Amino acid sequence: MDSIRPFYIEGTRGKLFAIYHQPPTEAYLGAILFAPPFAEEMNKSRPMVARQARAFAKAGFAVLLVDYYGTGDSEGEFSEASLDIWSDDFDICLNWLARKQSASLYVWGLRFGCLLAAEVCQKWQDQLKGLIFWEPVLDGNEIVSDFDRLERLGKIFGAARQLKPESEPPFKGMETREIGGYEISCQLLECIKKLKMDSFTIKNLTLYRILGKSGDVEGTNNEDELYSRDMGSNILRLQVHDKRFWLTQEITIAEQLLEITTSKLVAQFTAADIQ
Amino acid sequence: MTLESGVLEVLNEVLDLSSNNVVLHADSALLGTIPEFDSMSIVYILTALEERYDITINDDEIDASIFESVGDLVQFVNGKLG
Repeated sequence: MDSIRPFYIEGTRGKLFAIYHQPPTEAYLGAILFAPPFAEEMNKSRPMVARQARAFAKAGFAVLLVDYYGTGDSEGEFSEASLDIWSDDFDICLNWLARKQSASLYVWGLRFGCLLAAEVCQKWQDQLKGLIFWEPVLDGNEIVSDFDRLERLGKIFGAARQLKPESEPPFKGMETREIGGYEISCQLLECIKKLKMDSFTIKNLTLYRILGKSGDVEGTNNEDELYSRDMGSNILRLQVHDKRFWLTQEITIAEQLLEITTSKLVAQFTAADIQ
Repeated sequence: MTLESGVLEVLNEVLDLSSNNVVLHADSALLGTIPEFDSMSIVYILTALEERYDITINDDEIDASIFESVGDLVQFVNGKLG
């Protein structure tokens, strides 16, 4: 039987809430660390991520899910979060997982998580068997533009302005912006802005583009050019027509993506020699 | 596919109204009528439209009038394409 164990990992600035999915021992194939998105995209993604983690575990993979410092059930305030803390913590989690299950280590990311994972994994190249990216953000600027836009829309429509009445002042010298109900540090946004996927060495990546259930995307698409250009070595690109679950207003599950992601990973083991 | 059906597809995808049995048409009112149509979904709708039609929407072009109905949004995108 596979099992699920919640616990805390000691991060650089506080305890990080983690969930460890233990596969049935007889079926062990490898171990996977998840790199989450943050803010609203993570909220929308939690059920999907939980489903995928269960599916991986059933297929024989240990899976570690961790909330970034200042998010979810981890310690710290979101306004105190920085990219350095998140990167160092991610490294700690990779170390934890590598110690626990050293063979066939994978990192699986979603949206922003892929950018963070790509950065941290630079020094893990030799130990990692592969990367699995779901609709990666390729340029951190995209994330910051979305926040800028959200802030502007909040002002236009007078909505989403729910400042906590007695919120603690953030760290001295750390400016924050209140956007869409999140108190976010300007420094974090500045650092995210500088993250570019094409500045990292990427190898052994299975890249999933999730194109939406309704099908064909018309016309030219700059982003597709970005996705198809040379990002690194040994990259398998897959397109899936399924729900873009991290952005839908209601919580949705991309069933087809779950199936394909699990079966493609398992196939790496059963068909390892064919290639 | 017409521009209108393309815009409707984006709206339906992001708002995922099918589960509530809501069907949007060209004259459907959006802002203030559809509860799911909030700031966060508008960000995604704008980004999806930019990607789909290879257009750039500047923040100073965004105001409430373009989101009053599906038709208003279609007209706005049409203006960007022209």
